[in-house]
Amino acid sequence: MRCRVDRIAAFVDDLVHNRRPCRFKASPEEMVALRAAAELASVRPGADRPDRQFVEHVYASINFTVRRTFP
Amino acid sequence: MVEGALYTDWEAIYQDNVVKVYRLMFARVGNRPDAEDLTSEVFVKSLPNLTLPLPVIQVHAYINVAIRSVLADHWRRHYGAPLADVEVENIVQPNDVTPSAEGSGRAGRILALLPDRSRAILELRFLRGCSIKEAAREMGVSPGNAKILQYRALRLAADVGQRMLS
Repeated sequence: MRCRVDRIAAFVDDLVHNRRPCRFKASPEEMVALRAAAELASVRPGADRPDRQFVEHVYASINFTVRRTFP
Repeated sequence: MVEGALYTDWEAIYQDNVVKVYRLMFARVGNRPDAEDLTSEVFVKSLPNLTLPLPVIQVHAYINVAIRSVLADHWRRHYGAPLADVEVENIVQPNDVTPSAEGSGRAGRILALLPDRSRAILELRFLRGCSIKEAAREMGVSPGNAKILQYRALRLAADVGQRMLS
């Protein structure tokens, strides 16, 4: 139990700081908590708004791929 | 959406859907780096393979399939989730890729339905961004107990979320 709550707490810490969270093989019980934590992270106003640079970067990547595939 | 509407170029597909897909991904993984990677994966993998023009409804269905596949792969690779476990997630309706104007709203509703102490620990963590030590201090418990409280609150939140879907 202690190990389990520590892993979930570390995962939540990463979400709170908007970092890529720690990876580990989760038990089915942990998986339930991980998914709930992931969902609750979007409760912060504006948390789920994408960065404009990201949107432009992906656009450029697709543009490059499409132009290369269908010149 | 206009019935029978067509997408004739990938740029329009991307511009219409990128924010919605990102928000959906964020609501499923809860952090920016993963949400960006998964959103990118959905578009980079799927868009170049579409033969246009295609009906909007068909493109949305295609994007939904890509979202499911990318998310399933994420949870399986990084957390060992069985594939079937991910596939039962309610991602989006077949012709609606607008889940997450929902995202924050649904999370807020889940919090509102929790018992007081469960809601308090999760609000301190997710809404106010407190560390576990700060949250423990606010709650008047030890950091160890705050972690246990948080774990149990998350399990309860999962139950509440599940009931909201059914």
